[in-house]
Amino acid sequence: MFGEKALELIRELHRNREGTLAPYNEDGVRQVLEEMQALYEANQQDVSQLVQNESDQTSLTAVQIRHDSLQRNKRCLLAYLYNRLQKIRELRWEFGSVLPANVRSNMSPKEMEWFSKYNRTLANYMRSLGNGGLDLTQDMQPPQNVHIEVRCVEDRGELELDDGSKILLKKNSMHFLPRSQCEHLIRQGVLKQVT
Amino acid sequence: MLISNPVRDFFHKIVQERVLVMVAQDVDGLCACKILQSLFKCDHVQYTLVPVSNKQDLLREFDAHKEQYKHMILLNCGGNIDLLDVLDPEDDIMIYVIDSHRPVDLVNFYCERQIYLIMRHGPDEIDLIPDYDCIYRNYESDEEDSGTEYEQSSKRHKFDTETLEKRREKKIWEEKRKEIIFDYEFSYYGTSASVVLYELAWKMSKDDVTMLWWAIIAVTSQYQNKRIGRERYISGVLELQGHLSRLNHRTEDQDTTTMSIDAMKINFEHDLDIALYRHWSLFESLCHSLNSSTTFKVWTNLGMKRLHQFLAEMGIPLTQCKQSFAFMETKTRDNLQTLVQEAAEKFGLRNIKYHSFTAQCGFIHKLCASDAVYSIDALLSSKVGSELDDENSNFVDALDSLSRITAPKVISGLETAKIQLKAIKNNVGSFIDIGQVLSYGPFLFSSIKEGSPDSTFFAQPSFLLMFAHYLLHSYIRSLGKSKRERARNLPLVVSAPKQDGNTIIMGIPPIAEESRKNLFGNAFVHSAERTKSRTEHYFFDSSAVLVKNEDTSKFIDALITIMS
Repeated sequence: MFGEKALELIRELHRNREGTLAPYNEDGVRQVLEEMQALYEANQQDVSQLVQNESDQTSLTAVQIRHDSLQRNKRCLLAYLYNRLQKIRELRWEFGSVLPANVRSNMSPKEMEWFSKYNRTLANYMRSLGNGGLDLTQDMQPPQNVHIEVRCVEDRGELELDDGSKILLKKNSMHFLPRSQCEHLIRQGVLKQVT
Repeated sequence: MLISNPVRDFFHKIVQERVLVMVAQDVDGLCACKILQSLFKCDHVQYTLVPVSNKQDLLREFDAHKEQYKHMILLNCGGNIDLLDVLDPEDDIMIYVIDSHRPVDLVNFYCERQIYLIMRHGPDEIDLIPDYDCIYRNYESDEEDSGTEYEQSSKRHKFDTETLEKRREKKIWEEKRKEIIFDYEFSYYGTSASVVLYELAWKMSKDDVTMLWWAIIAVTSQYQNKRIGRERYISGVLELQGHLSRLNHRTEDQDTTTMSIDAMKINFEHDLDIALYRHWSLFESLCHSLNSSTTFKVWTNLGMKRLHQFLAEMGIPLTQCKQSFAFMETKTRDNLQTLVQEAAEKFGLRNIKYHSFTAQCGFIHKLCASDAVYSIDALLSSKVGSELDDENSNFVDALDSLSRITAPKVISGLETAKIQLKAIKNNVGSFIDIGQVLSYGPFLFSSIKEGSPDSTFFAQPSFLLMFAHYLLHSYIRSLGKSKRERARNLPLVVSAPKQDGNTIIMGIPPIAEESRKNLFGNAFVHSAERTKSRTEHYFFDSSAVLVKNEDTSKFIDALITIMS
């Protein structure tokens, strides 16, 4: 039946878990396109016959059905591609401008191209905000605490804070600092959050 | 300078600032630190926390941080040393001191700026501090005198009688001053820093059950380490109990059904004054507690027999006594308190029960305050004889174990505490058997030999203190009636070698002294001066001192002459 393959693509999209990107189903897409091509050609043929022989109206219904199938396939394909792009956009906000390798491998070359374009647009926009730009992807939710308690794991000398004051990072000393100040130090392993 | 309104003059002043908190490494300091941390958390006060274990640490950390911080808080340290002299702070540095060590240094108390003391204003705290006039008149009069001497030396003979009168007055005054200062310099412990801070939190309506628990632990630790006498402990406990019922009442007012079983609850109850019995077996616990072990004299065979008799009297089978408390029969466990008390009366075991608190979280975790103290004390001194880094990680561990009673660290602390108690018991037994406690006249003396198996333990002042108390009590019980009365009024001095060529000498007050006042701080200073021994008054507690190994004997000799 016509449209079966396209529906399969939509089902696949639907089956995917939230927030994951399934591999790009190139085969499926190609088959749908082939089907559409075939339908289109069949329609062309019938229509040209109709034009030549106006009295014979029998194939008109077939043309109607083929055309609807074509339309339906197109809608399904567009939905498939659009939803994937939506997902990729979400991933951009989640992971930042560089996607993990396993996500990249699931994307088609065209999607990659779109991704890098989107990246550029977003970066341009973020740069234009405020004075020196603003990273919109930080703090997507309001943080629970502005300050967190951290313990210093190694001697790192002085740390200058945003307000110009300095603190001394010494092994085993504990500090209560603004979260934004120590996030990168926690990632580096200099500080450890105390719960 | 004494702060009269801690909320206004202390807390509101530092709320906008970045502060440095220096914490002494003892239970009280840690508890105070936890309370302060949660207060700071409420108000987003940025702080840095540094543990200090002795005066050198204090000075070093102060120097390292003095560039960055203008407001410093000393928790349970520094009150009894002249901070202006020792730290020599810049003019814009404010130092707030919350300390339970007494006596308060007079310079700290009377200086008008920089040093701020936060302590309770009760009559038992403030009235003991001598009046300003008694101490400081001589500076002015001295200057005046010298001034008149230089400028008006020609005229001086004219006022002979007047000056003579003045001199006589001055002499009397000086003698009086000496006397007052001598009386004043007895070291003892005041209200614990945690309680002071808890009251601060309470005045700001920011107190909760967890903070109260920390205050409870601090008071219990003071009692357990014999820093305060029984009477002061009981009054402290009753005060805390008032707070507890207020807090409990408040939660009842809300909705009882919303209280989760996992939330912490504190109960006030009469408990047995024996060490760690909930986490040990009854038999072991009786063997290792100060009160019961000295009454039965467990280091002798006869004493062991008496202990067994005691258990028989209670009617608990020996197998049950020797298995873990948690596995004893439920019926026995429920009746244990009455059983022990009845039997204790017959055996002359006094004060076996005392007022205490237990905290409970969920159905599994139940911890009584004294167990918590043992655990934290053990954690603080667990990695003994190693470098400084480890001392600090002890601090971190202990702080972690305070944050929740369900923390796994609590259990490991309890295990270490058991090992320590066993070491104490064994050593006390052998010390008394060999007669290593000697009477030197004005005090009893006992020295721990270098290379004894537990010498790493003894290098820890907190362990040494506990050992000294056990030893003194046991020694006195081991004496005959006539000697015992005399020995009750004698203090004990113990010395223990450290690895680095120094010896810790520590003095504890006699048993009969209910106020727990300790005169050794002063005596040590004089003795060191007289013999020119190389000593370091290294600890926050003035009744312990470090002496070079070679100087130990002459130091002790001098101590004998001073005290007699």
